Amino acid sequence: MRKLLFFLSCVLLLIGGAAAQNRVVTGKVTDASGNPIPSASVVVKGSKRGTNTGQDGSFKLNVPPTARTLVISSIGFATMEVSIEGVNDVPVQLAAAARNDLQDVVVVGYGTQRKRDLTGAVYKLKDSTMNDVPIQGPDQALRGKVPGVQVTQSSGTPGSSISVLIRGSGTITTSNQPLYVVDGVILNTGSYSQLDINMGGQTLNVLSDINPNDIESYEILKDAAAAAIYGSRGANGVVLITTKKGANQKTKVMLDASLGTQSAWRKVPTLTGPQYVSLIDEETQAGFGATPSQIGLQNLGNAPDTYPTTNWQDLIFKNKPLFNYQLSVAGGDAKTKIYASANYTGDDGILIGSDYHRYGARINIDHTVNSRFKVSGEMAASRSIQNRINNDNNIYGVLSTAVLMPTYFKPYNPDGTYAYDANLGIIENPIASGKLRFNQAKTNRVVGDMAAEYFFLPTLSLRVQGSVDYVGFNEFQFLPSNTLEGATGPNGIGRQGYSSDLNLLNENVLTWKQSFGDHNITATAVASYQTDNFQSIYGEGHNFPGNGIQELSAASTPVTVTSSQTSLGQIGYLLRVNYDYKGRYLLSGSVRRDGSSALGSNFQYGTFPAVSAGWRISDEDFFKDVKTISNLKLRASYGKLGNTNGLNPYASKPLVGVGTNYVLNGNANTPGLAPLQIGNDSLRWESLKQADVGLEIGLFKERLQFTVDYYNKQTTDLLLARPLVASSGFTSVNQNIGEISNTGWEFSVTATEFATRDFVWTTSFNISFNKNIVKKISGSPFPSGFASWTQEGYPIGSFYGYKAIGLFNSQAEIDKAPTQFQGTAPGDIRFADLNHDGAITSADQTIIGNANPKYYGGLTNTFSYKGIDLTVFFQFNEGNKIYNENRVFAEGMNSLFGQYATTLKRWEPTDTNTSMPRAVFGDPNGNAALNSTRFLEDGSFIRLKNIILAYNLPRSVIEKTKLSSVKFFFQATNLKTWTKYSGFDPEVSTFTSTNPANNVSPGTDFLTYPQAKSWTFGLDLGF
Amino acid sequence: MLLLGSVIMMGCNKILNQKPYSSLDATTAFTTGPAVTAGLLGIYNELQNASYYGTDYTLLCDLEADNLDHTGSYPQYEQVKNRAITPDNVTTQATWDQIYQGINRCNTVIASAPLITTGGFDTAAALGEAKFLRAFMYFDLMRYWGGTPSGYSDPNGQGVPLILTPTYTAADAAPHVRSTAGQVYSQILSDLTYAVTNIPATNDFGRANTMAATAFRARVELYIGQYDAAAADAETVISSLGALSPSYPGIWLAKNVQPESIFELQFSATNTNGLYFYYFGRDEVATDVSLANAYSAGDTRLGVNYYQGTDASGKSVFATAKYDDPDGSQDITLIRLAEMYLTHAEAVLRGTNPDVATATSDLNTVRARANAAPTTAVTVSDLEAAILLENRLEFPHECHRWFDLRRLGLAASTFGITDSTKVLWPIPQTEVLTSGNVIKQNPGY
Repeated sequence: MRKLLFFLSCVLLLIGGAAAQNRVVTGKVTDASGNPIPSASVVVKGSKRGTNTGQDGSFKLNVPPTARTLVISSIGFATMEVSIEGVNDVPVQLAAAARNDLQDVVVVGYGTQRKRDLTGAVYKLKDSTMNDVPIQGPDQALRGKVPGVQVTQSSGTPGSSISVLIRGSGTITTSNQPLYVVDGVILNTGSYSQLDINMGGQTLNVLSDINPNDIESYEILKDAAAAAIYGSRGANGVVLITTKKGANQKTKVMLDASLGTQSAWRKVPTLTGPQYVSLIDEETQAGFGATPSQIGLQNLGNAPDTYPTTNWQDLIFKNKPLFNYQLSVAGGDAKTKIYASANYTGDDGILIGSDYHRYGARINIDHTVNSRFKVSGEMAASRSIQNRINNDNNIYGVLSTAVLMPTYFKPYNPDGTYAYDANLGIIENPIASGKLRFNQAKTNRVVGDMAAEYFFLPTLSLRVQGSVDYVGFNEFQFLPSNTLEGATGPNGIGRQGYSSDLNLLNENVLTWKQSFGDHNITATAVASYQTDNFQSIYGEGHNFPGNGIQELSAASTPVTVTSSQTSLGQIGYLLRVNYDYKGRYLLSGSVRRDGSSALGSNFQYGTFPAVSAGWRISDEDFFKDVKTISNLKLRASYGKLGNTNGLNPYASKPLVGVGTNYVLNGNANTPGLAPLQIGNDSLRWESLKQADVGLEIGLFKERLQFTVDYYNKQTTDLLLARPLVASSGFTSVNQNIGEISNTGWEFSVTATEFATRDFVWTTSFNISFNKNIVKKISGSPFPSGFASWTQEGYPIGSFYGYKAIGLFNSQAEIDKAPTQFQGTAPGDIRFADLNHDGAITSADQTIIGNANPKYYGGLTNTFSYKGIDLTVFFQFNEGNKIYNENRVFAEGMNSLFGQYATTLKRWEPTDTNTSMPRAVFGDPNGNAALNSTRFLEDGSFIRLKNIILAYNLPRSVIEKTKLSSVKFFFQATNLKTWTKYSGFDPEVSTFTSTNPANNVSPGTDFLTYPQAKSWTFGLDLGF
Repeated sequence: MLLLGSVIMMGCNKILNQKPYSSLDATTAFTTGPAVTAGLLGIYNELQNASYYGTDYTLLCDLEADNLDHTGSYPQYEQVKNRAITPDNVTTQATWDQIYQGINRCNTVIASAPLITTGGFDTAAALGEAKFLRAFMYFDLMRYWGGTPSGYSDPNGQGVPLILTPTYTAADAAPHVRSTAGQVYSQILSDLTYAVTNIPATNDFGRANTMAATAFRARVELYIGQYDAAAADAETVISSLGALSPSYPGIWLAKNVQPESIFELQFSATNTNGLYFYYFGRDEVATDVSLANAYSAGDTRLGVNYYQGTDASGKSVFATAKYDDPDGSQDITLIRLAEMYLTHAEAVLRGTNPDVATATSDLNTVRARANAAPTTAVTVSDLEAAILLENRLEFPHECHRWFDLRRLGLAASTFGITDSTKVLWPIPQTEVLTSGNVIKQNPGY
């Protein structure tokens, strides 16, 4: 690296020194408001002689006597020619370029490019309506907006995790989520909670601590060429986030406030109390030939219609507020620019007991010290407080108990205490679950960076950035003695956890930008160093003196104290060269070499090269006459990336573990040690090779823009646990084995249908198709989740089970059919004998569907009429299956759990025209117990995700006030959902993306917190 | 910039060399005396595992025999109760996996202990203890998976892969073919001979000592039909420890009751086993009424071994008083003195010169403690049957019954198992598949 820098410096000095002779012309390039424009190109017309302006916009150029005109150009401004005849000092004021987003500057990582010059698949999302929509984290902003990016809000829990898959899932054991980079700071992601495991399904999402209101734009790096600059981090794609900056402008103070309410968009009808009691009687008669009382069940012996009905869902779903307040200041002068903001946002969750509040502040400063030296700093601090409830696969959850609890008794006893089912004593009262169980997570976070950039030459700069992402996470759970879990034995349970994660990053970027006439070169060299240190401590105590004091010191029985620490070091070197000829032929190449401490000593470093090329056909001479086509660009890329995200930092090391303790002399706990893991010195990166071909077309002066991309993404060397014979003392070793393929198409269209002075209508549509196939795994196909299955030749997220092909209506039908199960009776499900061996056995299971959509995307229509803006955004997903595990219980009719109203249509000897099987205690046929197509549902949906109506007060009115802008808006989220899915929400996954172990189990619904329908009103004031 | 570069280069090695904090680097972990001692305790930790004595191994022995009923929901347990275990049974697989994990812990200590030269560390004692535990674990593997339907004495019977060196790398983990039963038992006896000589005569409660090694060797010898040797070892233990503890119920009211307790797996309130939960919490198993019926009136063992308690929901269950403490802290007795009396009785009866008088006296010693009348058996065969029954009455829930029937070749006939090969457990399917069939399945599966 040292040699490389030295060499580069020498070469650049030589080039820089080559210019000479004749007279010197100086000048200063500014924009319309007089702000200097740095790095503008200044070239003598008709020659290759030229220079770039410095930070203060000034230039100095030796020109030959023949020179008459200078051509001055800069990104975002119209190119201008100025005469230098007879003058040696020329002030130049550039006008802003005509609005044409081809000139848009796109952040590409370690630099920027004009959109027209891009050769990789980079999508820029700059959506001002995001400020009007109640979202907690930046990942939510990507929903349905970006082709090739599948965003699944896997739960409606405020501040919970969300899955973002860029071009499909390409890994089994490491994280499949993209890399998030805010202003050059690589973010910590995931959940720091140590209590997640006790909570059911949904995990926390530390990305929610990044305030979306501070974000100027998102750039999503999708293909290998774009993402290869992040080498071993880039395999799942990269989301670059740029926060808002100040400008040389009159200081602008903005106060944005929005306030609204939210509620469940759907509830699932359940049986009434009398219906439930009748059903249980039918179940026990079928299962035991006896009444519920005869088999010892309590309180079910009376006439059904004497029982009350409790609709638990009505008691736990509430209309709750959500709000967002943001105060920001943006301004600056020629040398110093500043953006500062303060934010308070909250989502009080539609289920009782859950909410998320966040306070945060940000300050971004840019300062130009002199024409050669710039410094900048960005810092955001936040604190979030989240009250959590149990959910999903959990008998103490709020929604889970509300579904599983029978409806035939009142929620409270006459003495005001919470009532429980007489026979299902293990299930918490849903209201008690929401109100008594206390579980609070607090996250303190600082994301900041400091950068200095020095221009050795106008064309050569070095940027040194140091950044930090610090997460301090605190959680506190108290289960008082009047809750079910806190009561049984422990007499109050307290659990506390604290984690901290300090992520330090130093990046050094050397950029050289030079034009030789029509040849433009940008070369970038990067050296990147990162360390990440994670520490946690956790304690649990039981037996509290009442519920008034909840700290662990009050627990008379300490149960657990643990702590943990890991550290990870990563190093990367990058060299990237972008070259273009007349902006028409574009070529880019990069190579990154990355090292990671997690990998085996033989393979700590990996090399990740990428090449890409673009051809702007519309710039060709032969295309000049084609007026309708304003832009036609063909681009192609190929590159290699790596992935170790989420890999255990010590996965390659031979380890001896602790905690294998023993007891001596009856009670003396004594420490033990035991081998834990076999090392693998050859453990290396998961390797991804991706090819991408893209075509961009702009018609009618860019009024209609069309982009299509095809990609082929092959991941090999997947990190998997290779099984070992257990007689070795170990059952597996980490090794690079598997292969996954993702191929797909992405289309996006942006059209301006109408554009008159007063009325503008634009439409933006994107749709993506991805095909995922697991090519190779270690060992046999394996199950995960409830019905998920991973097998070579099939996609990740496949479901495995029996085929349910109707009901038996008579014993004669059963006798004729392949042997079913012992106890199969009329009204039971007929399972298909797929291997035709005359009996239903486990060999009759097959892959019955998968959780991946055939296509997904979004449609946005924006109408502007005078000061009124209406935005209507639909999100859609088509062809994915959901395994509805809720119904396994709530339509099982085989136990005492509460049942959905759909069970009213159950098979009865007198009513056989149905697909709902009979009620029978114990379920001898496995109607519910067996994974089958019975519970597999179409998860397709179209969602009216957001509708925003905004009104900007006309300037004539505002001028009479001291304000500079006034906007009112109304927005609705999830106003309408069209879906065949019968559950609470089609956008669910009980197995959240935070844990890489869940990569293989998407699309299962199990008592997951559903998304809300919300309305908010907002007011944005500018001062 | 050059200065910056060189500073950075120096930092690189540091960045890529991150030490584990929560675990030890295996290449240097066992290089001190205290670490090897901790490694030794880590072996006992394996005995506590829920798949091993901590729950499954202990329960399945009585469940597969006639002491326990299956009253819970685990299909894997149901298979064991039905004596129709499939090779993909995950519970029996986990037991196999865990015992071999324990053997690797033994092998690691056995390989590391001789390298410790610092003062104060008794290498021979550590080796003796680790070899005792290795013998114990191989013996436990053989009990379920090894031998033949007629017992364990055929040297050409089914053995298990015999691995005596630690697994440090994936290459070390290559599959080993199964040794014969004779090879495995001769390794067990060789380890025990070393252990009897080198293990400390006294040790902490919970760790093995000379008496434990000797008593265990008597059990091994009894299983493989070396009756004279078994009688000699049992005699050594009895003469050293003397009379039985006076009260049978009293053995279960305290930990490490002397002289009864010879080798007792220790648990505490924070280091627990699952037996209480399986008997009284999830009601997975219950004591079979035939056990109760086998006691004569007044036998003090009845109340302990057919103990009526209440489960978590208040339902009445028949279980055992040996594991009736809700906090799961009760010890699991692995070897106790009464076994030596019954071993001695059986060994002198089946040995070279059958000694009916001594056998009767030993048997009656055990019966007398339980307030049971002296045996009425007089013939050798009646006495043999009486001793077998006494083993059932004395050791329910202590993991004896199924193996007593197995070692005598009586399991199939007692329970009407038509295919007698099924009395050996199947080698886990994963083991056979992962080994590429180097590790062969037992006959009959």
